[in-house]
Amino acid sequence: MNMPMSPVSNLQEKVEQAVAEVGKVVLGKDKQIRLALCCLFSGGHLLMEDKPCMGKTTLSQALARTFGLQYSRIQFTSDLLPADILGVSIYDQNKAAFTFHKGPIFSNLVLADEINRTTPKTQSALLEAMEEGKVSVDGNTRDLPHPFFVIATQNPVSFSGTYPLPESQLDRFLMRLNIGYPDPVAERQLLLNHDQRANLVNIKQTLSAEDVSAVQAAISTVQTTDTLLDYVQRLVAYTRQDDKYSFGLSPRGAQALMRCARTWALMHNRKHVLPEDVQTVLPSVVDHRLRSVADSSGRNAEAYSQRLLTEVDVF
Amino acid sequence: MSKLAGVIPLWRKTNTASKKKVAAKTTEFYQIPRTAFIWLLASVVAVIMPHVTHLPIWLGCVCGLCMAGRVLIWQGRMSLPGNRIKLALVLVMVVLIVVQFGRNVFSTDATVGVLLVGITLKLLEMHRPRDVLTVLYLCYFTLVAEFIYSQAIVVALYSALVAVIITSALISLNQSEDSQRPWRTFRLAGIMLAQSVPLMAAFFLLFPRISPLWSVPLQSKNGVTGLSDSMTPGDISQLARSADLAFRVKFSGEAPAYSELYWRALTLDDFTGRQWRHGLILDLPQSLRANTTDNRPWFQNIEYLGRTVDYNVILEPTYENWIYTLEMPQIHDDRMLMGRDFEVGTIRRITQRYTYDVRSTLDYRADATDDGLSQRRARRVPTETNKRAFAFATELRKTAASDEDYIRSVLDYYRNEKFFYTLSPPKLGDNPVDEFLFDTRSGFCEHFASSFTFLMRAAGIPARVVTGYMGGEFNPYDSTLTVRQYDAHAWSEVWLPGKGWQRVDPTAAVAPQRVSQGSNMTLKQEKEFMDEAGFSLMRFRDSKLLNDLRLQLEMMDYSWNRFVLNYNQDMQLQLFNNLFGTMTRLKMLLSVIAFMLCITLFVVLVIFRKSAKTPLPPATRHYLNFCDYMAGLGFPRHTGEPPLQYLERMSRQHPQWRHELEGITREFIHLAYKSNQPDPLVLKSFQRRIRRARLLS
Repeated sequence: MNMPMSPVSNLQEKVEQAVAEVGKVVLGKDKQIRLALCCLFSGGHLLMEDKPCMGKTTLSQALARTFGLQYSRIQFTSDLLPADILGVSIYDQNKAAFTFHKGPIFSNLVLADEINRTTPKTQSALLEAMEEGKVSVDGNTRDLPHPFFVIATQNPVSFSGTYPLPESQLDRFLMRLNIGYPDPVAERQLLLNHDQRANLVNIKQTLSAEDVSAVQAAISTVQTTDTLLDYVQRLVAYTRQDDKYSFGLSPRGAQALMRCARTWALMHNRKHVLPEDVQTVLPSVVDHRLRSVADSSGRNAEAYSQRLLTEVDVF
Repeated sequence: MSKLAGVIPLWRKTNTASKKKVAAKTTEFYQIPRTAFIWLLASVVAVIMPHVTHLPIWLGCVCGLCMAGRVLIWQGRMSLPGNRIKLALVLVMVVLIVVQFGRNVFSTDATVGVLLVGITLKLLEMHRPRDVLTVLYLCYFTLVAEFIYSQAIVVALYSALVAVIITSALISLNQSEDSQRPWRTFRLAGIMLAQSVPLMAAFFLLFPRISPLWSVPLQSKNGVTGLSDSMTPGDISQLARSADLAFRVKFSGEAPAYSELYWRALTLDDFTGRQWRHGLILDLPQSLRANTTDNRPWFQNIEYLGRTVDYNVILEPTYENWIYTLEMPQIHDDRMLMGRDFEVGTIRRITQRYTYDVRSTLDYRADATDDGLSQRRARRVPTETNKRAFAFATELRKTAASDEDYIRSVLDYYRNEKFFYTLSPPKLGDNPVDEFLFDTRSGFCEHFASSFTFLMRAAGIPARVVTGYMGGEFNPYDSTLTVRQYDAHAWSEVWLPGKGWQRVDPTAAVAPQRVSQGSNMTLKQEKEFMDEAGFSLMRFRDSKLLNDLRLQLEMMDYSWNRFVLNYNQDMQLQLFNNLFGTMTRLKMLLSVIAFMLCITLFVVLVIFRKSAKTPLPPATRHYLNFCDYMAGLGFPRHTGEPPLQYLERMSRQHPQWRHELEGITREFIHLAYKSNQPDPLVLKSFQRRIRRARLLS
């Protein structure tokens, strides 16, 4: 019990360092960085959605570096094929046999850039890999490395040249983050520095794959009392009952919420979850799983979760 | 056949497709769930059963037929009757009821009959669950109607059982199809009703008692024993004896001797030659109020001598004014008056069970001096009939030395000649006294009292007939005396100068055991005596065991009458006085109403509160108290605001509170979010801390 917990004990410290490192490149976005870390610690995949050129890719690259994970980047385009991601078998004349050349998905961290610009066929190839942790090509099933993360970025659905992800596939991302415009101070800093991305190479590795495993092992030890679970259940029930939502939160969505809240508590050196934890992670976990009645096509990325925070009482 | 069956519905469908409404009406068939059907039939049968005795037989048959029809419909062997058949059935029933009850079509019996017919006919018209509900609600209503006829314990217990049965039907109607166990439903209904018993008891005890706005005219005066205000001995050849209860008496001290138990009610002093009647009231009655100032001389002059007896009487409704007391009664009660002949009556007719307290003085002297009027009334005698008796009296008076002597010789005459006490005397003609005294010489108390009084008057001695009850049955288990209708009796009173009115019972001269042991002992040989009682336990009074059992049951019945049926405004007030000290009636009424309102308001509030919540854990409850307190100071916690955020917001506004607020919030978080079973000691100290914080302000 103590073994996996020892790295967790100084997790807060490590997280602070990581935030500082990533913050060198992504200015003034501490909260988003923390949430992204929370998502990765929880073992979930992360979806970043925002307008182009807001720093999505930079953030994902910085995260990859601070974890020191082997990573590959796939730029999704409309003509990308599943084989381009998963890999392909090529006939080796010397051996007189097909040998499998692994695609970019066989790495610990996959940056899937602009995931919604490719066709559903290719999208689902990636999403299947995310769900199963395995890849089946030419009748052989191959395991993906562990840990396996996908950080996907996408442009808002209303932009041209996009194939929106269906709800069932959105559900596979533990969190969806919006980066947002930088605040004036960060913007000034951004304007002063001539090339922010050059700093990427300076980012030191402060976290490791072991930290991730340790956190995931420790998650189950985080205390959640009836008082807290009652609150979470009221939140979930509210999405299912309120007529502003066209459908409620799925049980998997509720589980994801609890998982992230537990990780968030661990990241703050606590062994119990507070309603604050739930409220902090709630928008990122829940927003892409809900749809407002007014928005029947689901094309808007509005913050539906704000209602939950102000309408459902903690007790 | 099957081909035909297949064709007809098809044809119907195409035909009625244009008339959607009709199609919907004819094709939808509501099938009552099995359990509900069982309990529905049981309810109807149970409700009808107690009424069978007082309703015509044909009505029972109609009910039975309707129920059989309902079973056939349920089994699918019969279809629901059409509108024409239903209309015809209703018309036939109306005609039958009008014919049966004739002039009494608005009587209780007729109304109950209509109700029962309505219930059973409705069984044949059940298209929707709503119809079943109608029948069940009618069943509840009819169940209560049984209390018009009888309010005995047995009826109450039976009604409770039937209430459970009807409730079972109501429950099973709303149960899912798969609950196929009628007994389970019955048990559920029983539990539900048992749970409502405390509420019922509370309402029974506390709900303001208002005397009824009307009373049901039930009294059907048949020629049974009992008292009326006139007496015609010659007309009755067969006196039916009824074992019905007349009244019950509880003596607060020792009961007087059996031969002293003359329950006096009415004096009959107007004789037509055939009939004794209650004469005109010539003087205003004396109201029986304590400390009354308008006491009339005749009332003032009553001399009470010797031992007094105190007792309480519960009188069954008589629909008359008079009540029964031993001689000479003293009552202090606003509801009553005393007549000139010392009869006591109530101001209102006794339509419900009636209770009163009396003190009687067995030795007394009243009207010792001749005031002329009442004595003159008591001397009047019609001379054109009963001439033989008149001559006999004058002859006998001449031989007697004094009035007392004369009375003695008349009684001796009864004793020595062959007079015979019987309940089936021969009918008498135009000179009933003559015929009784010299020819038939057999009769019951009325004959003796009537002839004796006549003989007195013929000799110039003022005399009158008194009616009431004699004796009763003493129950050793609760020392109450039960007086039944067959204890009815008639005797005489004669006026002697200086002594006033004296009771003389000529029946005692002929059948002494009548006044020492009661009419049952006297008439045991006469088999017709108990005809009215049927299968009642009264038949078995000779068996020791059964008689004991009967007496025990009667004791229960007495308590039932005394404490349940007789629980009226006065008893309620007394209960309140015992509980809360002295109270006026208005104050009691107001407090009961206020109490009921409070309960209702509470229930309403609980129901209409925004949302029903499961009870909060104690730590959260204390914390919310604290939040309420802070809200009172102007810092309400927003909806959805978690504790730490709330703390931050308040501390930012009032940094001087930060320490205390932070302590409380940390402790709350510790209690609420660290463990599901917080340490009770910590919880206690948390509660104290919040209380202290509140005192600080």
